[in-house]
Amino acid sequence: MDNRKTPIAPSVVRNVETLRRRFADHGSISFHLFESRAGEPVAAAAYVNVLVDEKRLYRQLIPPIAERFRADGADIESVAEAVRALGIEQPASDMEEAERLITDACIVLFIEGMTEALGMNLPGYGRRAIEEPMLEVSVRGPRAGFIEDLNTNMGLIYRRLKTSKLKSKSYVVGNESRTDVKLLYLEDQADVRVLREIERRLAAVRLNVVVDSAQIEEWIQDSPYSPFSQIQNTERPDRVATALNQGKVAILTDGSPNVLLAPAIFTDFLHPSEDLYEKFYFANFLRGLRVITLFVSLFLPSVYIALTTFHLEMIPTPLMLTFLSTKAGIPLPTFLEALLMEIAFEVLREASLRLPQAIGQSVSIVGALIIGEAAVQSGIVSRPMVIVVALTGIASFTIPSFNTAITLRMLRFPLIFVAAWTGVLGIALSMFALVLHLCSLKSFGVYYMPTLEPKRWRDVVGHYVLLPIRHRSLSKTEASPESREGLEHE
Amino acid sequence: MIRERITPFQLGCLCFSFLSGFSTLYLLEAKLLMQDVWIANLTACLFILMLLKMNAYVQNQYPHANMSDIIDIVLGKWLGKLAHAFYLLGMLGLGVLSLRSISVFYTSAILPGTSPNLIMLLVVIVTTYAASLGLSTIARSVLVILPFFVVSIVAIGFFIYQDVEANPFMPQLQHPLPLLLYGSLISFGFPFCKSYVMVFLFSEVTHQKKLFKSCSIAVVFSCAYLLIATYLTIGSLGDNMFKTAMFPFFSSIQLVKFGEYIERIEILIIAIWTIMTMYEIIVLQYVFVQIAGRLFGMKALKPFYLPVGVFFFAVATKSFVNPAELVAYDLKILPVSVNLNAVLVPVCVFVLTLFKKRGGSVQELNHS
Amino acid sequence: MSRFRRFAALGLLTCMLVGCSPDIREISDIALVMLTAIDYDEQKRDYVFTINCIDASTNDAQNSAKKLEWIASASGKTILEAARNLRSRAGKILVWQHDKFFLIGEGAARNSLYEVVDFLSRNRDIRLSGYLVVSQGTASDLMRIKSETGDLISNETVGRIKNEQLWGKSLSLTIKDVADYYGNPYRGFVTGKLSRSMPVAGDREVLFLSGGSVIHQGKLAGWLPGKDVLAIHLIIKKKYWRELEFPQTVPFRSAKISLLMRVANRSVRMRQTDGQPVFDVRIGLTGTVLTIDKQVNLANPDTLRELELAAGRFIEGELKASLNRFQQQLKIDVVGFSDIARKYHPQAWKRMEKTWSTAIYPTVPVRVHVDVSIPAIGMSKVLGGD
Repeated sequence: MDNRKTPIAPSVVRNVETLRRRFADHGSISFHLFESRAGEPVAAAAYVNVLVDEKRLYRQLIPPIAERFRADGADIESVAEAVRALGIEQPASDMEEAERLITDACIVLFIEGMTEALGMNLPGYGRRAIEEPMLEVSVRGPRAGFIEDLNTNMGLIYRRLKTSKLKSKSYVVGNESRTDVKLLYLEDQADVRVLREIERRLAAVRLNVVVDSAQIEEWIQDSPYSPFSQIQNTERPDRVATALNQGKVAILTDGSPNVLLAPAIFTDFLHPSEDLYEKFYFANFLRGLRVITLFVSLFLPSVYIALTTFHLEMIPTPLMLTFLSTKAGIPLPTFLEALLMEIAFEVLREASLRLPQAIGQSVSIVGALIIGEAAVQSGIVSRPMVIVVALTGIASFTIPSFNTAITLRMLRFPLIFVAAWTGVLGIALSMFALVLHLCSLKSFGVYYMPTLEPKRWRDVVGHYVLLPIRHRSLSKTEASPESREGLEHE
Repeated sequence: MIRERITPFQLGCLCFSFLSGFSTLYLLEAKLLMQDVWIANLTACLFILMLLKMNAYVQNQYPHANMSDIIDIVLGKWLGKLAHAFYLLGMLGLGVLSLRSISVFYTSAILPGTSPNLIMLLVVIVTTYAASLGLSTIARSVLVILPFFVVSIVAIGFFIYQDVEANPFMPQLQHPLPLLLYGSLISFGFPFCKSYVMVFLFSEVTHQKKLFKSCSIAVVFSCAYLLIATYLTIGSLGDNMFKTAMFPFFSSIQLVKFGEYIERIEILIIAIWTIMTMYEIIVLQYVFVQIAGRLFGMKALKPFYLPVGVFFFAVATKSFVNPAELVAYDLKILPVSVNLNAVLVPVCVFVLTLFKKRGGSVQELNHS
Repeated sequence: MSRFRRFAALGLLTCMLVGCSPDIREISDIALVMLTAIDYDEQKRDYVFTINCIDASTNDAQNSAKKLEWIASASGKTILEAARNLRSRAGKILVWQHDKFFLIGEGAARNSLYEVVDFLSRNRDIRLSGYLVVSQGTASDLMRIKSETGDLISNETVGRIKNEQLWGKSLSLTIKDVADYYGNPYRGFVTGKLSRSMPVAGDREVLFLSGGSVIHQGKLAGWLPGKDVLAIHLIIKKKYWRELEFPQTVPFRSAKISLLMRVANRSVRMRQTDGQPVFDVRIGLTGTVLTIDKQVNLANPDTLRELELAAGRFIEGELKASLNRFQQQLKIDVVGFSDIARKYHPQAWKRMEKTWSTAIYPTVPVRVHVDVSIPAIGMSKVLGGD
C-alpha cells in the first residue's frame, strides 16, 4: 500500500482539481464552489451526490455558508465556526482522509488558505425502516430488529443499556470497503482477556471488501474448518443487550443487520431469546424439546438405517411386521432410499427458500405432498422412510440458529453413510468423534461445550436449564482458568 | 504450545471411565468365584487404593515433575529407561487387549459378518483422533458422555433388578483361600490395576493435593459399579446361565423388556458402552505417546499420535486371534505380568523416595 | 488445510465402502421366523426342523397389509444342518430374531434335549427371552394345525403364553431359565406343554397350552396336570407369580365360593430342626369374591374372616397334595428346594448333597402356610338380602 499522503493545498482550485482527477469517471462526485463578493473562489464543497442528503444540503447548509463568504471581512475562523455550528465536523488533514470522508457520506469543505478540510456528515442514502427480524421470530418479546445501518443499530442497543459502562471501540476493516466495525462491551462484565483477544483478531483481519458480518466471523473464529459456528449472530437488539450483560462482546458491522456475539458456546445456539420471555416451565419444556429434536435431526435417519438393516432384533415385533409389509417390493436398499429422500428434502427446502415467498410455499407443498405420496404409491420409497425423513426435516427447523440447523443437516449425511456401513458401531463412533470435536472447540478461549464442574455447577446448569428469574445467576461465559493462561501466553 | 491442565474432578471421571469401560464385559473373576466375588473385588480395590496413595505421595514430593521424570530421577537414567520400556509394553498389551475385546464382542454378539480388523481400525481411527486432541479435551468429553452412561446404566440396572429373585451373593465364603486370592489377583489384573496408567496423568492436574481423593473416589465408584453389575447379572441370569454366558452382563441386558414388545434395547446401551470402552484405549494411546516421546527424546508429540495408533492397530491384528486365547491371557498371564508395572516399579519408586526424603535430598532434586 | 484434506479423504473412503458390510439384511429380503419346532426322529437319528414364518407379499404396494404364513420342515443330522437345509426351500433370508416360541417335540425332549438347549442359548439370533415349550407328540404336526381365530398362529401362541398368568395352570419358561436350570443336577423344572385335542363343541382339533412338562436330568421325565402346575407357578420365581391371578373355588359351609386370587407375597425358607431340614412355604394371597352359589352374608366381618381362613386351609391342602406328588411320586425337585438349601444353608447342604435326590428330597417335610385376605367382595352384598 502506498503510504504517502497528499497534503491539502491552500488553493481551493487546486484541491478541486486533485479531487476531480482522483474521482475521474466516478460519476457521482459533485462540487459546489463558494465565491467571495469579488467573485474569487474562496471555498469548495465536495460530496458524492448519491450518498448525501442533497435537499438538506442546499436548503440548510450551503445558503448560510455562502452568506458568510459574501459578507464583508469574511475570515476563515468565522466560517469554520459557522460550519461547526451546523453539523458534525470532522477535520481532514490530507487528501486521503478527505477522500474517505467523501465516500462516507460527508460533505467536505475546502477553504482557501486552509490546509485542512472540514467534513460534515450528512447521510442521505436509502435506509430500511426498523422491522421485525426475519430469521429470529418470536411470539412474545420486542419486535425490533437490526438494520443495515451501523448507527441505527448502535442506537437500538444504547436504548436498552442506559449506562456509561457500555463501551465501544471502532475499527475500519476492508481495504476498499472501509467498513466500520464496532466492538461493544459492558465494562465490568466482559472478560478483559477475551476482549483483548477479540481486539487482536479484529486488527488482524485482512480483507478487501467487507459487506457482511459473516466475513468477519469466518476470519476471526477459532477453528475456521469446524462445521460448527463458534460465534453467535443475531438480528435482535434485546438479545445483544442480554448477551452484553452476560459478559459477551458484540461486534457490529456497518451494512449488516447481523450482530456477532462472542464468545459463544454450543448451548447458545439452541436457545432463542424468546426463552427468556416465557414462563420458565414452558421455556424449559421447549428447551428439552429442542434437545430431543437436536438428536432426532442428527441421528434419526442413521439410526433407522442401522436398525432396519443391521439390528432387526431391536424393532418390536408388531412394528417389524408392519415394516415387513411396507418394505415389500421396494427396489432400493434402505440406505439409498434414505439418501434419495434426504437429498430430495434438501432440494425442496432450497427451492422453496430461493423462490419468491408465495411460489416457494406452493413448491414445498407440491413437493412434499404430491411427490412424497406419489413415491410411496408407486412403490419407490417405503412409508416409514418418508415419515423418518419428514420428521428429521421438521426437527431440524426447531433449532433456532440457522447456522447450527444447517450444520446438523449436513452432518446427517456422513452419519447415514457410516450407519449403512457398520450399523450401531459406526453411529457410536461418529457420535463420539462429534462429542470430541465439540469438546476440543473453543470460542475465544472459552470452551465451546459447557461441561460439569463442581465449583461452577450452577453456571453450567444455567446453560442448559432456565432457572426462575430470581435464582438466575448471571451465567457468565468466562474464559476458563486454564485457557486464560493460554491466552496470555499466545 | 500451551499445556492444558485438568481439574481433579475431571481426573476422577476419566479414571472411572478408564476403569469401568471393560470391567463388566467378561466378569471372569465372578465366573470363578461366583457369590464370593465381592471379596476379590474389594481386596483388589483396597490394594489399588494403597498403590494409588503411594503414587500420589510420590507425585506430591515432586510437584513439578511428571511421573516419568520422577521414575528417571529416582531409579536413575538406565533403570528408568528400562522401567519405561516395561510400561510401554504393558500399555501396548492393555491397548491390544481392549481392541481385541471390542472386536470379539462385536463379532460374536452384534456384527457377526464384519471383519474384526475393520472394527479395530474404526476404533483406532477415533481413538487416535481423540488422543491427538489432548488431555483436556478427552477429560471434558468424559463429562459429556458420563451422564448418558450413568442414566442408561441406572435405568437398565433398575429393570434387571426386577428379575433378581434371591440374593446372588449367597452362600458366602464357600471358596478356599487360595482360590479367593487367585480371584483377587484376576480382579486386580483386569479392571483395577489399569489405574497405574492414570498415575502418568497426575502431573497434569491443577490441584495436586486432591490427586488421591479424586482417584480413590473413582476407583471406589468403579468397584461399586462392577459389584452392582455382577450382582444383577448373577441374579438375573442364574448361576448356571451366568457361568455359561460368554458376555454375561450383555446377556442380562438382553433380557430387559419394556412392556411386552420393546425388548432387546441392548443395542442402544451398547452404543454408549462402546464409547465408554474407548476411553481406555484413548488414555493408553495418550500416555504411550507421552512416555515414548520422552524415551526417544521427541520435541513435538503431535505427529507421533498417528504412528502410535497405527502401531497399536498393527499389533492388535496379529494378537489374540482366537477369543479363547484372550480369555486365557486374562486368566493366566495378565494377573501375574501386570504386577511388574502396577506394583513393583511404583513400590520401588515409593521406597526410594522415602529414603531420599530422609536423606533430605528431595529439595535438591526438585531444583535440578 | 491439510487437516481438511485428511477428513475429506476419510469421508470419501467411507462413501466407497458403504454397503459392503456382510451384516446388512434388508427388510425386503427377509422372512421372519415366528415359531420354531424341533423334532427328533429316533430311528433315522435325524432332527426335523419346522418353522412358521411370515413373509410380506411382494410387488403389491396397494394391498400391503396381507401377510403370508409359510410352514416348512427340513431334516438334518444336527439341528444346524436341519435349519440350514430349510434354506434350500426358503425364498428369503430367514431371521430368527423375532421368534418367541420354540416347540420341542416329545422325541427330541426325551432323547436329545442337550443339543436343543445348547443350540438355543448359543445362537446370537435367538432371544433368551423366548419361550421353550414341549409338545405332546410330534411338534411339526402341532405346528400345522390351523389357528382357531384365523389370526397368525404365532400371534395366537404368544397370546396363549401371555394368558398363562390369568389362569395359572400352565407355565412356559424362558430359554434363559431353561438354560439356567438345565445344568443343575439336583433339581428338575417344569415348562409348558402344548397338546392337541377336540374343544368343547368344536369340529376339529385345536392346540391347547395347558399343564406342564417335567424335565429332569437333561430330559423329559413326564407330564404334569394343570393343578400341579399351578402349585409350581405359585412357588417358583417372582417373575412368574408377580402377575399371576387364578380362580379358586372354596367349599364354605354348604356353599361353593369362587375367588379370584392374586399373590401378594411368597417365601420359601429352610430351617433345621434336630439336624433335619424342614421347608416352610408361606404364601399370602388376596382374593376377590366372584361367585357364590348359595346365600352367604359376606358383608359380615366374622363370616368373611371365616371364609378367609377356610380358603387358606383349602389352598394349603391343595398345595400340600401337589408337593406330595412331586416328592413321593415324581421324586423330582421341580420347585427348587435344593437351590434354597444350597444358598442359605451351605453347611447343611454339603451333608445333604449326595443323597438329596434319592433319600432326602422325597421325605423332607414341607410345611405349607397360606394366608388369604379378601379385601373385596364384589359389587353386591348378598343376593336376595339377608
